[in-house]
Amino acid sequence: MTPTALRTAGRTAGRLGRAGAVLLLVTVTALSLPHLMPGSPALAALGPTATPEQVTAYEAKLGLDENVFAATWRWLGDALHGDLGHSLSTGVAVTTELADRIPVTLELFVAAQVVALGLALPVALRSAWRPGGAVDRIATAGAFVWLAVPGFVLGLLLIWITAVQLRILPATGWTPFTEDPLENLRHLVLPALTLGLTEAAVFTRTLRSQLIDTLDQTYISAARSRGMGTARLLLRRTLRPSSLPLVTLIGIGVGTSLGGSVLVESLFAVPGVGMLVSGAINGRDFPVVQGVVVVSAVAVVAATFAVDVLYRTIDPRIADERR
Amino acid sequence: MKRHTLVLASTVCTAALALTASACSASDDTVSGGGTAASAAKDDGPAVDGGTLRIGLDRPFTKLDPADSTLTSMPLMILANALYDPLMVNGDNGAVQPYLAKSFTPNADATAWTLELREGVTFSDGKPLDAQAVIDHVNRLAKPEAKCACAVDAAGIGGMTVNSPTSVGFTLKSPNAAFPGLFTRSLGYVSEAPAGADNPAVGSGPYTLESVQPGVSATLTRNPSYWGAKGHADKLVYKVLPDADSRYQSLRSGDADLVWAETPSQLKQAPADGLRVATGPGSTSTVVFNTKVAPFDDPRVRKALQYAVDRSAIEKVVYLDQGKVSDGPIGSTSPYRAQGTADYPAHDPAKARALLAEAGHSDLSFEYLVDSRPEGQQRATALQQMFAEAGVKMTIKPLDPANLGTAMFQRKFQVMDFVTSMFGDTDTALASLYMPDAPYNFTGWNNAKAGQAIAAGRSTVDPAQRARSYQEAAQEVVTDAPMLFLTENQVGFLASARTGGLPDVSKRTVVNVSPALLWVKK
Repeated sequence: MTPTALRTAGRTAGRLGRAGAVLLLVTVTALSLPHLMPGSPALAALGPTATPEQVTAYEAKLGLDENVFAATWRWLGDALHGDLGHSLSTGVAVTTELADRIPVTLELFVAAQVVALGLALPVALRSAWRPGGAVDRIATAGAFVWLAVPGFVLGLLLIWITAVQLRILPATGWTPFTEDPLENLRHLVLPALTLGLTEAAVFTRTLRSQLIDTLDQTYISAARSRGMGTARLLLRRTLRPSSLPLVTLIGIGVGTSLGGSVLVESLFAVPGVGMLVSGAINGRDFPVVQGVVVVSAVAVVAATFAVDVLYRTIDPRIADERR
Repeated sequence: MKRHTLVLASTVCTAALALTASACSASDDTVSGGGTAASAAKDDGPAVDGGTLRIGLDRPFTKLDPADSTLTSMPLMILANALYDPLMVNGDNGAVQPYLAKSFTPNADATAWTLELREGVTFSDGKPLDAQAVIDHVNRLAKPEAKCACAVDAAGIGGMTVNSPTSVGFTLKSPNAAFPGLFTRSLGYVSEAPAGADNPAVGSGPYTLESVQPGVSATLTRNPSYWGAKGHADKLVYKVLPDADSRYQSLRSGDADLVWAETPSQLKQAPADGLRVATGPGSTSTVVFNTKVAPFDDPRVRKALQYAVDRSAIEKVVYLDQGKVSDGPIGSTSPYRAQGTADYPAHDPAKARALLAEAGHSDLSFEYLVDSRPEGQQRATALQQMFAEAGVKMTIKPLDPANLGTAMFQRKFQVMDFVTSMFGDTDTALASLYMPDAPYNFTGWNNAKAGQAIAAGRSTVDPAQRARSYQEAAQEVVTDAPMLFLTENQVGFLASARTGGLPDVSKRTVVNVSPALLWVKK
């Protein structure tokens, strides 16, 4: 093995170790939730009419009859065999619940990114090309206004316009893609717009700043002086090195979308992970909450890895600097 | 509108606007009025059979089993009533009436009851719903593994016997003249045990389950072997639409035909938006004191806060004049009210200050736990201002429903907001909330006189005597003030103009509608 390969292997092992430590910490924290609750979580969930037998059975299900480290060890062992426990309210396996909900949330996430990037890329490129111009001024003002509008207000506004007034889209609900692709798309539009439009404002502001910095670089000036066309200059020479923060934002979004789209999913009644975890929290369904937390943590770690790899692909200088 | 009410209105609206886009937006020229109930089925023309009725639920259901008390909570009864038939129901003014049962009669001292069933009723799988099925159902829900909140009610049953295939005998451990009322919820929704964890229980209702995604949606089709009148709609599609605003807009957009609603601004605005309203006085807003902790263990402090509250202002500002002022645990439509009402103190901030000074708490301050939803915040803001007029500093602490429930069940609070449907059934409310050892005695209040009066009321089958006993207990509740009563609120259904058969529920303290009665106009 060459010294470079050894260094790469060492760095990968180090990253994996750190990721493992993060996941372990998140798992212990998630499994500590019932232990950390003031009073009896069993009584809180079952109510004052619970019999002692019900309380005892519930506490055993939560692993409250053993210490948190023993519970973590047992949970990890089960998790490695694909068993994340069962929902206390429905009795359904948490893995089954997640398998039903994750595709919905991921579909929503991808659609929102398409909306956000579809808007942010052209607007940011035009703004950065002529900073202070009409498009830039309008985009800047629009982005600030957009960022100030809470997601649920935007969502309700979109429902009012498209579903109530124009009646061209459904206000709420969901149709699985496998059942009816067209209906799936119609139900996807409003939640994706609600998430995507807010993200578009963030993306536009971030990308515009990076593009302006890149456009100040001497190699861009040299390319301009050689007569390179605007489109080629922007898309091939400027956009790529400017897109690193954007990749980071999207990477973070993968993880947070699993638990973070609670508001939008509840507003539009989209049966994704957000709606699942919202109901689980209200119903004190700890196994489901724990499953979502741990799976989200895994997604964040995986996304971070992916972003790291993409960084090197987008800008090979990063890899060179570390050699 | 009085000046302080106007000031209060602006304060509450300001607080509400921070929380919801639709709060305080209802126009004042729309229909008002308590009990703006269904313009009603009589205007709907002939019933139409066929089609799909789409119903928006406000909360997720988990198991389609009466053992899960969520399924028989008021907003989900429209789902429970499709799959199951209750033995008893709350009719107008909360009166308990037979539904699937033919009769439910006591012996002389209400320690033994006889339930007579209809003949020829079957579950949707064809098995008979007979006396043994009722006993099996009660026994199943009474077991700890069923996790039914009704287990505490079932625990009062000493024994059950099959008198005949259509007659069940109940022997109680102590007299209970309100025993049939226990069969209006989980215990009364007779079911066969589910065949496995993933399957629903089997009922005898007008519809059967076609498909379900727990917490998300359920599709039901007509039960071909239903014993009673067939449901009008071929299919019922239930969707959980947890956000109140988007649920309302779903109705307006035509995505739903019927939704559950409690938001005052929506109930007021609905007729102007071309929607139909079927509501009843199904909820009461109260303030709960933890009487086990100082200074709320001192009745003078509780009484002072009682004087500080202007209930009319809350009714106008928070509930937009659609409900009524509440004056005690016996609701305004309760059959026990005929004997007279409790003497509820009028708003008097000066008396409040004087009482606080007498109790040595002139600088009283406390934390108020409240639901984080908009109406809760509005109530809390209004109360905060009223208490401030009496020199009391109240800090509002919003909590999600789960944490609020935990604080209440474990009595880890000083004062908290409590909106409940329990007062729709006076018998159950008094026994559950104010008996010293009652499971829902959140206040920790222990009043021997009230306890004796409630027990006396429950042990007599003479309605007049029971009313007198309950009135005596209610007066103790108002006088000793373990709870403050604010308003009786309208709750119920909003429906699109194409929905027919919506019944008049304006006198229903438990808004309980069967979806089999409803149809979709073509």
